[in-house]
Amino acid sequence: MQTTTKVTRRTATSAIGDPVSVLAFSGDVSSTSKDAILTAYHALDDASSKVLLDFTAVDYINSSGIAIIIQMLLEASKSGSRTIGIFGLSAHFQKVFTMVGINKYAAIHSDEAAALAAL
Amino acid sequence: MRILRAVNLEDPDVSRCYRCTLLMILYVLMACGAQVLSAPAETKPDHNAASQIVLGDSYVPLYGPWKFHTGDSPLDPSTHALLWANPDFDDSAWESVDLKPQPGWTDPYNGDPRYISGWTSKGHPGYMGYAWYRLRVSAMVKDGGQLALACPIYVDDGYQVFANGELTGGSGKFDTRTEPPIVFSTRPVMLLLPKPSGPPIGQSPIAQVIAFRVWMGPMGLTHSPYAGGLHYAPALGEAGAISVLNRLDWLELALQSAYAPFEGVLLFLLAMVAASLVLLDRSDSVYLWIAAVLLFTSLSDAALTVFTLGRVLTLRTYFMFFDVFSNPLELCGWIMVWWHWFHLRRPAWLPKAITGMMLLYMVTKAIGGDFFYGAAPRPPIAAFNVTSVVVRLLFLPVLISVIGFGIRKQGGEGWLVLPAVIPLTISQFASEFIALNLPVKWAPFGITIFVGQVANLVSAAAISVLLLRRLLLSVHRQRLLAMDVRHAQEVQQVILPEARTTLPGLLIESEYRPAQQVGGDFFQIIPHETDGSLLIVVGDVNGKGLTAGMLVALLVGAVRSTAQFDDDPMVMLHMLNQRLIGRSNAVATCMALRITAEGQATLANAGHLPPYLNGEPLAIAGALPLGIIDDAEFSVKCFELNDGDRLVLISDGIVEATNSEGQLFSFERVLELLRTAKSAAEVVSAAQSFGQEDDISMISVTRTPRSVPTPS
Repeated sequence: MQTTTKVTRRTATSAIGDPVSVLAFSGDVSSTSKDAILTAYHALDDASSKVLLDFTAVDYINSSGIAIIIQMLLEASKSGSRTIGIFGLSAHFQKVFTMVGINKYAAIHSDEAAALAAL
Repeated sequence: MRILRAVNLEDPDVSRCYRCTLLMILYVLMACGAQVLSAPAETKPDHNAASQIVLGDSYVPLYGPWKFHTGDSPLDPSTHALLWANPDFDDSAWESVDLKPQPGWTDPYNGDPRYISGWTSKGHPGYMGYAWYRLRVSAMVKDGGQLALACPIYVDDGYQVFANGELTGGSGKFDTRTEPPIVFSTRPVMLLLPKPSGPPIGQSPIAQVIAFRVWMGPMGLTHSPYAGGLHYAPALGEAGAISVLNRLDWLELALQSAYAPFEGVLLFLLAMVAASLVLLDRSDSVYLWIAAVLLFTSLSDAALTVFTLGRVLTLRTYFMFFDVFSNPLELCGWIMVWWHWFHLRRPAWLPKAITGMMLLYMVTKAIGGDFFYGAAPRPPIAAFNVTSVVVRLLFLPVLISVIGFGIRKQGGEGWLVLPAVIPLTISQFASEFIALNLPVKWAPFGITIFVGQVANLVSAAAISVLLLRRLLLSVHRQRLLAMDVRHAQEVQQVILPEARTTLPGLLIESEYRPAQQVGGDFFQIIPHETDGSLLIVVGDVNGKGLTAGMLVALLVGAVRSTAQFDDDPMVMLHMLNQRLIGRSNAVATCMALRITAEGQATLANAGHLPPYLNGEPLAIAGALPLGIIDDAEFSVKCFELNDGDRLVLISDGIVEATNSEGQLFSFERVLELLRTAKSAAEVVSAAQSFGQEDDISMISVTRTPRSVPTPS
């Protein structure tokens, strides 16, 4: 049975001292997650030029959930002023994200430290 | 000369006799019936039967006039006895009240013609607290007899009875003068009056001073416009006659109370039926709403029965349950039933508003109903009481609005709920009928029928019919839907290739196991008509079920039409992408593979899992799925298939099959199976038994040596 997606926002600091907005997802990411994910993303202010997506607490992502993530990344790509990184994915979903070309829009890192170091 | 005389039921005495006669006839019939059942086959007349008839055991209603005074008695400084109970107390300055029933005036709740209105409608409006009734009467009984008193069967709210200054009984717990008494539903009470000292009984009338110390709290005051004290005249008589009267009163109370458990059982059974309908149609939440409201109503009936006949629930506890919980929940519950019945969505704020009204009604009723009387400081009761009345009445226009929205939405179908809604509304607002002096009962054939009871029974019958009709319609719809799905399934079977296809130089195996009846995975195997090449297109539409199946039909049509003029894999993906762009939630991963007769393979990928060549994953760059962006760039890879090479294409339903512990089937297990050259059916079955979550498909393409034509 699928669990609902929760999104929490926090702020971290990149290795070079820039503020980084971290959107931490939990639960399952599926078609029902659209509102939660996009609302949290749209709530980021324009000053949030560096954003990390934390999937550490995500149990499962299906193809519809991946499509939502892609939609969000495409929005960021069109704006041209925001850099997005991803961390916390299991090896399985790192592979799936790579297959669907997400790595062309957001760098995929193993953990938060690596993601902050790369921003 | 008039031979027949109509019985005037409006006259309380006549009506009383009439009902007593009916009950006596009932007793006699029951006794005769019992005797017939137990009598021997042949009986002889008993010539020694007693022929003496004894008359004289009788009782008389004490209509008064009684002396009446509000407030409580002062105490005797030395004995601390209640001075107003003393037979010698001078009550001549007190006002007089007559407890004789008025013709045509009956108990508004049970139709009893002996009913008399209380002190709030006799010069003491709004008064609650203590009040005293005193009556001086002389009575004489036969030798060996004893006087007894039948207390009123309905008193607001509790009382103590003093006979010649001696406390003889009552209803309720009057333990202290500082705390309000604890009172219960009043019931028939028979009190034996103490035998006075003095001359022997039977020689001269005995003076009796009977005093009732009555207490009425806010419960009694707020639940009847005629509240206050004694509502029936007590009866004084010989103990045997009073005992018979007491038994008759109990029988009447039992008959009056029989409706609540009857209704409770009926509604409970109906609730169970409604709840069980969910098993037949899980998509319709209205069954659960109806079951919940009916269940709560049956619980209210059970509480009323316990309150009336038992001593478990006090007046305050029962009315707190009824007013603060039961009544608001039922009012709100039925509106929500109709909201779900019509599948209303607009105005979206209305359910929250109804819930808010219910909570406001509960709070204002709890405070306005003065359930916390005795507590200090006392809240402004009147303001809350008025608010609770306003909120309660507001439920009526809200209900009418919801029904109006439903009828507007469903047209003629919506009107069908009125046979249930109207009686339910009458039942829920029956107390307003009483307050407005509207008729709430009638008595055809001498049997009192109450509008609330009839309304409940009619609404229960109407709801039963409505539920049955809704279920039948739902079953019909489900059959049509199942037929649609079956047709879609048949279409999908037709457009899927054969499970095993042999072409010159290629052996193709395929397995397809949709998660539901109609799947979102698809594949097409299209041999070229002239050059000996083969085009394979596999894909996975987001989602599953009929919606995904419809998208599959669209894509398969596009694949076949595109392949007629161009079988280039990249062209195929771009064409399919164009078909999905602009459609809401239409996303699919896809892979197109063309294998020439010589074994040259060109693979174009749009987010699909890369294939496995001889058990090893083929390295190919990732790419966005179809339907995301217009000018998507897909990845492409060219390679060669040699004799014996095996290329396997799988959908994500295999790697993401999940067992009960939440573990994925994973790429590793797929790799392990493919390295041991398992067939497509074996791999797919392994994933399916692991825990299928999504559609599963697999295509295995094995290059076989092409037969060389033998020279003739």
